[in-house]
Amino acid sequence: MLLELDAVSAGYGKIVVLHGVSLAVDGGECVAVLGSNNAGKSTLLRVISGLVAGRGGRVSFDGDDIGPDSPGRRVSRGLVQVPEGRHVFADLTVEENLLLGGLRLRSGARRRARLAEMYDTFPLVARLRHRQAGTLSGGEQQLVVIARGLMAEPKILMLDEPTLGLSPVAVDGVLDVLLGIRKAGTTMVVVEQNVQLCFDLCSRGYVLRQGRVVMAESMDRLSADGLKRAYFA
Amino acid sequence: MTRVEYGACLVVLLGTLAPFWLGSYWLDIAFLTAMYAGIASAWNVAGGFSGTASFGHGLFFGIGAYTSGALFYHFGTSPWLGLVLGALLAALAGVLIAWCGVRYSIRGLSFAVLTLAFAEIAWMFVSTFEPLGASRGISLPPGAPGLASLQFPSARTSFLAGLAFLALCQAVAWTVHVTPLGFRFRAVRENEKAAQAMGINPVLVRVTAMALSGALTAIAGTIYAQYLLFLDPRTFFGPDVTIKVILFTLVGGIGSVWGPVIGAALLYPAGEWLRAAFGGQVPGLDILFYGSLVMVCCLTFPSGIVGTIGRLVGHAKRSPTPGAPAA
Amino acid sequence: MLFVAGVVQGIVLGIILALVTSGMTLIYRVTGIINFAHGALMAVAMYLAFDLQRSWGVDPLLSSLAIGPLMAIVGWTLFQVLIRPIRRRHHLLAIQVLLGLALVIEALLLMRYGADMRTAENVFSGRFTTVLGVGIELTRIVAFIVSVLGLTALGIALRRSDWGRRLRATAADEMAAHLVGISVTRVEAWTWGIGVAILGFVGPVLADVFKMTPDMGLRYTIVALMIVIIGGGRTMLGTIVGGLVVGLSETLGLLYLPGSYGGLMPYALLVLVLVVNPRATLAMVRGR
Repeated sequence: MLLELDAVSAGYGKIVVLHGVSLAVDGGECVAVLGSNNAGKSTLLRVISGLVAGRGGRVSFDGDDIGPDSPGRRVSRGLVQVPEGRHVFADLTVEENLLLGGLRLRSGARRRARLAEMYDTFPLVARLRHRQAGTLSGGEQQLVVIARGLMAEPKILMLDEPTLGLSPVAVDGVLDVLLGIRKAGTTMVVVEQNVQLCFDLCSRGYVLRQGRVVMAESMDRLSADGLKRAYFA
Repeated sequence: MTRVEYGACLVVLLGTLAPFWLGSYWLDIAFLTAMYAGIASAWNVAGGFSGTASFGHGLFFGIGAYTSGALFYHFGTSPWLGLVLGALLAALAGVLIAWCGVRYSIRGLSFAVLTLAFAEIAWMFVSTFEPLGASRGISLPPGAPGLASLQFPSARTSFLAGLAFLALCQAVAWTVHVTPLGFRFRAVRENEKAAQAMGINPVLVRVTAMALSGALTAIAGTIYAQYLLFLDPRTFFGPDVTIKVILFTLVGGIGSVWGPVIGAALLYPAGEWLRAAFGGQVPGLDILFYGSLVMVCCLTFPSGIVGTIGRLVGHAKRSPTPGAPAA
Repeated sequence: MLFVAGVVQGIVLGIILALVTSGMTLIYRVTGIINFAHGALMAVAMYLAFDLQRSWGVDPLLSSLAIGPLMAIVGWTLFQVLIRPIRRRHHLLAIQVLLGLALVIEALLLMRYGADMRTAENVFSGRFTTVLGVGIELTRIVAFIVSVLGLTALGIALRRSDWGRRLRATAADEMAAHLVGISVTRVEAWTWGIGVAILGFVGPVLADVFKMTPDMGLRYTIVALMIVIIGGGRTMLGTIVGGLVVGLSETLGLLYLPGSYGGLMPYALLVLVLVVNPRATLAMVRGR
């Protein structure tokens, strides 16, 4: 298992958001995390990335316990998150955004080479390279942050609600991009409210409700009824 | 009132009796301590209770002093009348500034700097405006001694006046704190938007806070002017009083009824003693004392002395205590 | 003629103030804290230059090369020891501790150097030059040139260098900075180092331009704060604009308005800016 969570709990101050969550992601997989609002999906990713401290339980990556690792250290291991709400560096250009994504690659030459690869893969981003990231549309920004995440040559790419707030056209664009990433073999964890997208993209899914895993199935077996029950019952 | 506050009350009460046994030197210090404590409390009503922090309370202090002083000097108006007028003018200034702040979304630090800007503008204006004595100031002629003309013939009478002023400030602070008004103040302090959603009008709250705070500070200005019998732009409109008052409130416990008083009572006499005893050889010892205490308090008593004692005495479990600062 | 003199002097002053303020802007943008000890730290740098000159005759322009790096260490340490451990507890505590520090600095300066106004003359002192027909002290022009160079260097470094990019990224979005692997704490510590280092370099140069008294710290902190607010607190350009507004308004104000009325122009403009521009509002500590 590339990424494993074993009975992880987490919260903010007195409020506990995750209660003993366990999940596992194997190399090459594309796993979905579903659930309604406040189910704890974003907190889950934040705990994995080290932005929120876990309380109890164990997070391991590539066999190592990454609990004591700082967020920066986790990124250098290849554990990269594209956060919810895009979070481009608004004052910086697209190219600067991407270059910063490549911090994991130590040498400037490797970074430049990877940047060229990204421009090949995302011609739209290439066209926007000198624009200030804050001036782009939602869909364009989403592509930029996905490319920024890929710049690090991640072992696992985690995406938090990549299609939230996007127009249907933009959503299709993002889906295409994500399918391409999956085809290239990158391991992915996708948190999404858009269930259809997860069906198209992922092989397996977890459903969170109120901070607990209530379903863990392959996407084929996740029927509409089962999901409804998991979300609302 | 919490147990800590009863205790504080008692200590202050004893503290107010002590100076009567000491000489006029200590009575003078006690008078100034009482004044600072009152002004700190007044500041706290706006800054601590409602989160409307001001860096420019010199504006109100000066308005109070110069209104009563200039009217007395030019027209022989009774300082009592001047006191009331000064308080009203200062309240009006407070209302205008607070309204400006809410209307133009000037909050937090920017609002504090806004108040400072007004204080500085007033200071420079008075320093140049001849009828108010410009930078030379105005010497107030002593009138007939006694209460009617608000004169202080002895250190004892001025101390009594200071105590009366402090009592007034504490009465106001306490009343605001325990009544529903205090709840509104705290709600606006914690989260203005949420308070608005609950039907509380932030404009009304902040305007009331500044008006009360300003009026009380202006009264202090009048009393101090009568004590000094001298009007001077820097003393009254300058930043010294505001800085000290904020310091005392921070150390004592911002947001609590007795915090500012405790802070003033602890810091001011000690500071003055340091200045008097060592000021010759080692100038600045009192400032060193103030600064170090603030830093130490930040590191060890984050909620001020009152808050910390409250915690020690077992308030930790209680719902929002007066001693806890805005989280 | 008077107007030209006012404008020239105003621009010179404004650019100097902009460099002085740039450190505060950087610190605010990256760490979200207003450095209330900013002016006091500049006073430290100036008095250090004064001391070195008094004791060993070192020209302040020379000692600034040493005081700059020294203040960088001071700034870095300040962040690690005072700011970092405290701000987790309550966001206003960092402000309080900096105010306390400013007072402690004032007291120590008072104890060591006395209350008299001081200056530390450099090799250009006492001489005058003319710019556009206006007579200006040479030391002021030197300070102006240093400020122009400093602001330019800062601007270029922020735009082009790797650490400049990391700094701007951390200022733009702290969470995203974590997620691309930037060590945010290290960036913050170094920003404090740089912000205070600027004071270390420019302070000695100003030792014959601004009069030194132990209590000057708070005054300059307020001026810098005003410039940050007027300039928007976000970009170097904004800081420069803010500096020019304050410099010009004060100089022209004193020139054309009687008595001390002129001195209140910067404050009047500050009020105007706050009323007119809703985005000028600064948080006491920026929510992050």
